[in-house]
Amino acid sequence: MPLLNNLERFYIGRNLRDPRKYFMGFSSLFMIAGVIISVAVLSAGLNLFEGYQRTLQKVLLQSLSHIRVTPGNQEYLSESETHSLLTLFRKFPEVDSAVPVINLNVIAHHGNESRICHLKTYGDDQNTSDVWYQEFIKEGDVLPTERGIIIGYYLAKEMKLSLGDTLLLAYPQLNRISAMGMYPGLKEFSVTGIYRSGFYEFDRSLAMVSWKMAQELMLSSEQISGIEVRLHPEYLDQTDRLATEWEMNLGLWYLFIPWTYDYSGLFRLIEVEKWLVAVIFSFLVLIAGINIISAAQTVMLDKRNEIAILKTIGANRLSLRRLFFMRIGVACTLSIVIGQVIGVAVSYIIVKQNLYRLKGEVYFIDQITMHVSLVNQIIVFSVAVIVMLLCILIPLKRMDKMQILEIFRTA
Amino acid sequence: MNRLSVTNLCKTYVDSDQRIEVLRNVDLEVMPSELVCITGQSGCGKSTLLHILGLLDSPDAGKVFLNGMEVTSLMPEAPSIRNLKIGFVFQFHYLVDDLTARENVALPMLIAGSSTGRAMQKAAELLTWFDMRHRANHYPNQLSGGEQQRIALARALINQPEVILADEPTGNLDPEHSLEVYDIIGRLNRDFGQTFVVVTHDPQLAGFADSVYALQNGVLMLE
Repeated sequence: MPLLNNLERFYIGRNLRDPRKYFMGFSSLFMIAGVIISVAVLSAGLNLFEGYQRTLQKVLLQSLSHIRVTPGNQEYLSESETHSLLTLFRKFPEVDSAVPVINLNVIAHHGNESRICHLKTYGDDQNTSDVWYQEFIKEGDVLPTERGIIIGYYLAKEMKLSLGDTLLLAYPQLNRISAMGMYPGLKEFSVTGIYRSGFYEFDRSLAMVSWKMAQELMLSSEQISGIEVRLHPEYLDQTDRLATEWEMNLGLWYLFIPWTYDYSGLFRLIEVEKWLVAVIFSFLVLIAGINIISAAQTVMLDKRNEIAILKTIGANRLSLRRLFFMRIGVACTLSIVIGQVIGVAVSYIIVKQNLYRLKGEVYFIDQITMHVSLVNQIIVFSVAVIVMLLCILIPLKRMDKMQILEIFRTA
Repeated sequence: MNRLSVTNLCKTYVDSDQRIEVLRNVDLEVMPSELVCITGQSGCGKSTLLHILGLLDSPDAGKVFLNGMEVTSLMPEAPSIRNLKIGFVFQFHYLVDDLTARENVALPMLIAGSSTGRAMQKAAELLTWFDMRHRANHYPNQLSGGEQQRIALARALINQPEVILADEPTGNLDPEHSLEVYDIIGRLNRDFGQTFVVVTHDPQLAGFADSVYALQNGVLMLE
């Protein structure tokens, strides 16, 4: 049985050829506007949330190591352990790069400003072209020079630092206490690079110096915090499995911490928030659906003569129901599609505007981004279509009760 | 065999505890190609009788036969019977405002399942016969009363029904346009053998009829 019979095909073709006559009535106009606005809001909300989620993930994956290898039963890795682990990791096909890293919490001082910052130092065998954070260096050098330091954008802003300024780093250690008190490692650096990943926590606390300078600051060449492993993109979704596998193979001497371990809670929260927002915005679609009930009712009252005529000349109950269902359904479906397109446009405008930016300290990233996901759009379309079509069915039941003679008598 | 017949048709309305017997044991026989007129005063039940004949209303008692087949018990099939075997013309023409003259004429054929192309072609042929081809793409509100009634007649004819039931087809027309309608009904009856049952209190139209019945106090009598 064909989806549409000849009468329905004729009417739909007729409506589409002359949409103003059919869809631009006062009640239809409000119905259409309601559907477009609610779907646009839902679509824009999901586009922006999806963009936020993806950008945050991208920034984290580009700024962080994918698997952190740290000693299991001691504070630091020895140089020989580090060397053998690096040799091993660099043989794995999944591994893009593996570098030793020193992580320290230091006090940074400039003028009257002091901040605690996270000093990160990568093994000094890197080339500029290998550096994965290269795209985040907004000003200056990609690799820290011997007396140079790369600092986060917000750290520089808060401490009023710019390229060429001097920054004093102090590294206090509890095992260095003299009769005069604790004496920290102190070093002065010149700012040679500004780092801005978009991830607020990094941009307000990160500082990077050369390997040699970090060792001098620690007054030790033995302290290697761990190894940071980055995977090829196609293995990113297997991070947890690889970390577990390596841990099983290398015993419990080392901890293999995947990036998801630190941030899985955050991403679960964002995912939940995204769908919560979708559910809340779906209520707008539901309200638009209620609007459709009254609009469809009005359309049927407006068209009661036509209904009576069609009944008189032989249209049966099912055929009439289908006819009006299709006519209102086509208007709603077109409105949903238009709403989705407008939703994309609205998200684009929100991304491009400069009036409001995200607060990094609240939302982790400070940029608004969008991503139009096909799956999300299909979900928006399906939810809206189901709500609309169910709402159309309600007034159609009343059409059955319309008596031909009653309509003709009151016409 | 009768084209259309009714036996012992009764219909009563109850209006605030008052029973009004509109039809009392009405019998009627309409032969093929016959033009039958039913006259009577306003409110005497002429239209009720026509509605029952057209399966738009059901009788309290009695039966309606179409081509010898009893159709009063076939109410679920009434839409299909109305579409294929009965044509309707009303006093107020009742055309679909949003459709052109040609589309209005084509509607019963589309309901019957014909393709849009075939229905439109047949509608165009009928409009030519009715001398309305030049108004094919006009909407009802762009047509005169007489033209609208001609479109309604063309629509009633498109599925070549067994009988056309016309309820005061000239009731809303001036004498000039009424004459046009008489002429068309006469030609259709005379030249094509179309059976008509016309409810009217227009004596001029009744003058065209093969048989004229009068409905008085619920009783139908041959005049």
